[in-house]
Amino acid sequence: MPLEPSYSHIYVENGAADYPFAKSLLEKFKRAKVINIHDYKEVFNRPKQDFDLQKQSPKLILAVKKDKFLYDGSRFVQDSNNINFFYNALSLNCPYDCSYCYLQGMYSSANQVCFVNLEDFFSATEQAIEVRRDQSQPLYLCISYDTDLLGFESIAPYCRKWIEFCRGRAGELLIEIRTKSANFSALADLPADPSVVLAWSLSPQEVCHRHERKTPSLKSRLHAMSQAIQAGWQVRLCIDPILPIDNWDACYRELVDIIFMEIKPEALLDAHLGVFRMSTDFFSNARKRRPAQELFYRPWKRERGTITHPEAEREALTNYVKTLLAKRLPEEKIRIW
Amino acid sequence: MESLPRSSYSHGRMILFIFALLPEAQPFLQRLKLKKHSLGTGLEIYLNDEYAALITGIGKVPAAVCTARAMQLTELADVVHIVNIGICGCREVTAPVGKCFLINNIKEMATGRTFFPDMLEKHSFTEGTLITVDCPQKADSSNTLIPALYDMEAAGIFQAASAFISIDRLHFIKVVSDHLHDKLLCRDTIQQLIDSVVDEVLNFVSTFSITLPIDVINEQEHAALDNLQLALRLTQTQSAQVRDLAMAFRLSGRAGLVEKLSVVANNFPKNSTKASRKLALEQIDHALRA
Repeated sequence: MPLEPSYSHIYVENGAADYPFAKSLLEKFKRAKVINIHDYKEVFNRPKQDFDLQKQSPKLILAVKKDKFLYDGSRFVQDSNNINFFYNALSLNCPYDCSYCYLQGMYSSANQVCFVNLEDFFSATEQAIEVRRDQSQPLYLCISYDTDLLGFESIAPYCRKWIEFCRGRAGELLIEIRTKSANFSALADLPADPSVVLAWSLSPQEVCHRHERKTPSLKSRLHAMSQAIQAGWQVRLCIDPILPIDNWDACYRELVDIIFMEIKPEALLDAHLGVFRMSTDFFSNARKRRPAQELFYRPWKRERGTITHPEAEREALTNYVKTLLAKRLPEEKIRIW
Repeated sequence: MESLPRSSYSHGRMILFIFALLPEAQPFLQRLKLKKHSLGTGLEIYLNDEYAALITGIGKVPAAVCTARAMQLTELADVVHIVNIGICGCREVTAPVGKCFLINNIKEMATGRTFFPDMLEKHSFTEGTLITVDCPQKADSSNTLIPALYDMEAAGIFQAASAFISIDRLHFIKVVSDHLHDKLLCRDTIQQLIDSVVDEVLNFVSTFSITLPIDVINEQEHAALDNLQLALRLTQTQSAQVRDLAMAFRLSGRAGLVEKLSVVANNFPKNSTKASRKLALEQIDHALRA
């Protein structure tokens, strides 16, 4: 069945089109059909959407975020014990399509929502910096948590805007931009900033191919990561989730070897490791929406509202990759979920 | 009129066309050679193996009621796409009579609610906004009119149909019949207007995917799973575990599921015990993961 190209239609919430960020986005899609809507939720939250099919022809929804410009850090990330840890949701959904992603259980739509009122996010962040609980530490903010902003940078330049916002805020703000993108070139003209961590999620090529649809290859990601390091950026290595594919141990050993052939260990800020985990509700939704995802039929364990590996398997996966990394990195630089 | 013998029920996937009026339906009935069947009082349904057509009468409530009734019929259990086709009024004189639109949003005038069919399939139509009203609109009768197309059924059809199938499989195609004047259109005019778009609509419809996403396990494999469940007297939880293993097995691209399940089913006595079921599950797990 021939489908419309991605972003063939742009739904624009009342008032959103007046924002400069929205104007620049609309300018990039002059041939798209624009449909005016009252509230992004009337399109995004519709019942009976086909997530799978929408992923093949996603639409853009431009909206104004009214509240909740910052969320408390999630228990599903490695920094969950940091009391200054927050994340925000500048965009809902992700240009990539990973089979283990919780977004397919979190949202009923695969369409991409872009919030265009960046100034409101900046104001809320400034206030949060002022009142952060541990004033000796910067406010730690993940801006690419429910999405992949760098992967979407050529369309919506959120990373650029946030990096500009970070200028001169070293010590009071630290943002993490987590990505699978190879699009470092979109930021290459910006000077490296100590308030910004660029975090690359890397997986064995077999995982990229089978479980991370639409993402750049391992080689391309590694190249982008290397470019960022050379340009002086703080770079985090993320191997998350470690998936128990066939011959997983050999695959991850090879991955670590490939990484350190390209990158000097001392150039990395740190490394985050994790295994598959998803809230039980999201897992149940995701399985209903995408019943043909092989990963959903593994013998997972339900543990305190989370679907994850049985403990022994989880430990085997993380310990193995941790041991590989520990040969190159000091242990205190390795964080595990 | 003929009543439908059970043996001729469709076994394939079906596309349902919904019309308000018989003259709107006529060009499709003729082109697709659809035959009228008696499937319930007040339900005019025309069928062949691939297509069905339903005539609802005028207004969003009759349209919603007929759509919901039709979608509950076993004869229409295989409907995977619904296409509402009909004439509409248009305030804009720049859209000439006969122009055909694919609708990307439907506003229900009475409630202020808006419904959005998913615009996923590639198409060659002009897209438009449709407003479903409760009585015919006149160009000079209201100052609340906005530039759009006007009909009297689409919002009702959308709401009823979306209870049964996903919204990417709902399509609304409207042909401009007038510019909101109050003259009644004759039957022949309506038929001609629709007749002029039949080819374009059928072309569009021919691109639809008529498979459903969940066809990973085929009928034979389902039967083998049912058989295993009965043979081993599996609990609901155990049965779900086996089906998960079967799904993982098929999704990994491997074949021979029926044989593997049959071997296990035949290996165990009919009077299974808790211990033998556990052992059987271990064997299935081993056989399907290997």
